[in-house]
Amino acid sequence: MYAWIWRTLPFGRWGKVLGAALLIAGLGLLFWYVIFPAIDPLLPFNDVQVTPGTTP
Amino acid sequence: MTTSVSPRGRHDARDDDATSVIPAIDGDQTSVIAAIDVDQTSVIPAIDVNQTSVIPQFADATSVLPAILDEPSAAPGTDSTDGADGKLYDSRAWRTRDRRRRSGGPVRTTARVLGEILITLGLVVLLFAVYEVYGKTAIINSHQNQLDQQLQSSWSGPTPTPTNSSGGKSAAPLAPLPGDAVARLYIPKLKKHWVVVEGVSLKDIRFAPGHYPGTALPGAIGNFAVAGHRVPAIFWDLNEVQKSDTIVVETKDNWYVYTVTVNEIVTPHSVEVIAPTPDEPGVKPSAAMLTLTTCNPKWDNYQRMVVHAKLVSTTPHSAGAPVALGS
Repeated sequence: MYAWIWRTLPFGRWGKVLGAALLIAGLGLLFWYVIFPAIDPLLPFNDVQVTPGTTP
Repeated sequence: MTTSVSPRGRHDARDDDATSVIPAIDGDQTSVIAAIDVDQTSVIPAIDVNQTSVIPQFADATSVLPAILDEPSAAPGTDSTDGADGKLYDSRAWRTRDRRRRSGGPVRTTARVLGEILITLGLVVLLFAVYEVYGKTAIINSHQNQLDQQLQSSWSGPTPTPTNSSGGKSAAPLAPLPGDAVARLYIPKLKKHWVVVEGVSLKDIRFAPGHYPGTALPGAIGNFAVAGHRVPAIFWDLNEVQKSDTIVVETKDNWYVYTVTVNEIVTPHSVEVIAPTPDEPGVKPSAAMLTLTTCNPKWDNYQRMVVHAKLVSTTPHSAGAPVALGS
């Protein structure tokens, strides 16, 4: 999979390096700002944090 | 007469005077190593399935090293690998041997892709762990700033008076709506402070500590109970808040200074901790108490950590921050 991505990136060696860096940064930002905030409330250790006795 | 050995079997005119065993290099050739196909993943020539050994078999050979021939061999282009015609070694045969790609094949590709996906997922999970600490802290801090401004503007605005009030300071202020900022909470020992909002649903306490609805307001007789997530930006270090530490609450009218009486671990259903008299449900309150609740242990929630504090002093807001807050 990664070999395929590397081969498919255009513009020679430095183009590939730049493309890879952009891909990593783009995916990283996507996860950090979109996906993680969305799944964070769904995680078990964030459940019913502090309301003793009351289960919503 | 030539004394050179051309393993390719060719007999170049240039070879006439050569005295070495190293093959003469073609003028345009840029390397002695056979050109590799870009997609080839190995330099070692692929082995024919029918081949029983890696070493080329030569019918008459008694060793694997090419013998030095003292006569020119067959015409260039022959791919023969047996030694029957006197040519023991043809390097071109190595290069042009069937280079079926051994790195292909569906099973191998699947295994490789699966492995890469698993490694990628591992990195994503690591990134998530970092997010849980740093990302959420940044989000909570930015929400706290918003709430700060909200509180500031609501305090400097006109006080909403209930219709049956006799004027002046309202004795029974309108109950705040869930999500509204209620007060500021300072814990000097942790060097942290937050804007407390009303309500303790998950939505309310997501970015700020929440005030249990129905419990007393700051400074009032009863129990001002607050719940907060056990995250680094909120009540992460609550375990460090022990007996006789100070907690300060700021409202529009007053500063209230509380002293911690106890820090205890309870079960998640211990509702008595937020009773008007903490731990004594049904008993009429006689003191102004403060209670903070959060999850315990730090990354789990099968217990609760509870801090009780009692009011020691009330000073008007105009008098400025109490000494407990330092500079």
